[in-house]
Amino acid sequence: MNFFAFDLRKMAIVLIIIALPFLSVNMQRNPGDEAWYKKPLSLLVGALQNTYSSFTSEIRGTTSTYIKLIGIKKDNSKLLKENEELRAKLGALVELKLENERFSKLLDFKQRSGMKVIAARVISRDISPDHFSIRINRGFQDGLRKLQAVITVEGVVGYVFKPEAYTSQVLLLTDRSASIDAIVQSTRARGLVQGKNHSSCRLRYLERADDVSIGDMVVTSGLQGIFPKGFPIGRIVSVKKTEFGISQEAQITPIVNPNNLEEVLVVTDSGNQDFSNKLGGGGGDFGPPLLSKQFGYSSGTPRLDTSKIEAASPQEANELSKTGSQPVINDPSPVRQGD
Amino acid sequence: MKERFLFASNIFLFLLLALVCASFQSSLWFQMMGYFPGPSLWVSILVYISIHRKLVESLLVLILLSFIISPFTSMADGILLMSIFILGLSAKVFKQRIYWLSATYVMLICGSSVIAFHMIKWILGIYIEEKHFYWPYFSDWIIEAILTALLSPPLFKLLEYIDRMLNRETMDQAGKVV
Repeated sequence: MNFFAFDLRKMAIVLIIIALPFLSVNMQRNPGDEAWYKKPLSLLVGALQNTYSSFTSEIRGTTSTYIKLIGIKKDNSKLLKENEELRAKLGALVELKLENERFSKLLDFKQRSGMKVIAARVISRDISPDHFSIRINRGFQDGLRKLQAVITVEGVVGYVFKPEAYTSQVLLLTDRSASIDAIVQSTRARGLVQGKNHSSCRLRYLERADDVSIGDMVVTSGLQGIFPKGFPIGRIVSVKKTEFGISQEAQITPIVNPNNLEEVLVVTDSGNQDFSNKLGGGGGDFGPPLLSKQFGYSSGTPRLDTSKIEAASPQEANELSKTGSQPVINDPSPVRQGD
Repeated sequence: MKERFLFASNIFLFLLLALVCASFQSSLWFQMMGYFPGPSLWVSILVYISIHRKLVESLLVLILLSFIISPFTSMADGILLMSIFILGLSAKVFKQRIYWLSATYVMLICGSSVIAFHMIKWILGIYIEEKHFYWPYFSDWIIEAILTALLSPPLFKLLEYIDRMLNRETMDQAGKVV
């Protein structure tokens, strides 16, 4: 076949068909409204594209969320672990802060009291529940000796009972074997504080004529040369007087709660300090501000009505009866009856 | 010579264990739990010595045990020694009447020994001590007894292991030396 033998008419028709769009189409990319015949097509294409786009973005979102979740989980466990560590550190720091406050208080007391004291930590307690003693981490090597006073900032704790080389056993004032010479702060009535149980002591051998009331503060007399004078021991919570006898007895609650002891001070030299004037009724330099609120006592408060003296309980009546004293049951008569 | 060494080692280990148990009760337990009563495991050791040793040997070991326990308490040494003696002899008599090899028996005898020890100490204190009368903390006694009873069986196993290791005699069901 001859390559050059072609039909001119067919060729012309083809060229016209090819040329026609180029003649009618805008060759320039000018912004403007679309031609009317293109609008339905554009609408359809747009809808189709939108559908495809939302579908793929959903899939992309789900995939990215899943990938992020794995990362979040790892971050979460790391943060939880970090949180626990920080909480533990915080707990330790709080403990350190409290310890620091206690030591600051002890140091302040040591500097202001004028006494020579050695700070000690409580390391153990008595194995018998009926005996009240503690062991501290100071001994002979630190200058401790037998019968040295053991105190805290608030008040009397006890005295050194069995000192050893590096530790010492301290007899608490609540132990029934402990005895501390004491006076009632307001009336200067003298007696002997002896331990009774884990939360109370007895002030014994008060003279019958002594004026003793609930709420009175009991302090050390300083006569034994063990404790500094006027240092708080406890507050009177009840007074017992038998119908016959030459003495009366009071129950006192110690200022220092022996169940909460962590650090104590051992007085190696009291320096003849007298704390009588340093104790307010609750607002002095030393002493227990809280108990004064509990008992409503201050230096200017009038004495309590003596008819509030409590009768002996049957249990204590039994004890008193063994010593030959008769208990007074429901006796509303004032203190001075029979004087 | 070897027998004497084993014998001495046995006593030494038992006393060392009593020291550790008493320290645990007075110091470690106190630091963790405060004044909540702790288990008196040294009483379990006392009971074990009393029921598994001959009379003279057990009394001698009990004397040494009282020396070990004395620094842990402000109790008078004489009262402590007498209480330990009475308790040890009572445990021996009890074992001769009632004995069977089981953890229940161990719990029973150790728990009741704790209460018996406190009771003996209290009664002796009433008649001997200067400041004699006091109302004890019965609730503390009971809690101590329960805790001691619960922890005594594994302690007995340890003590039996020490005895076996050091060739000491053990008891059979009838309570006779094997």
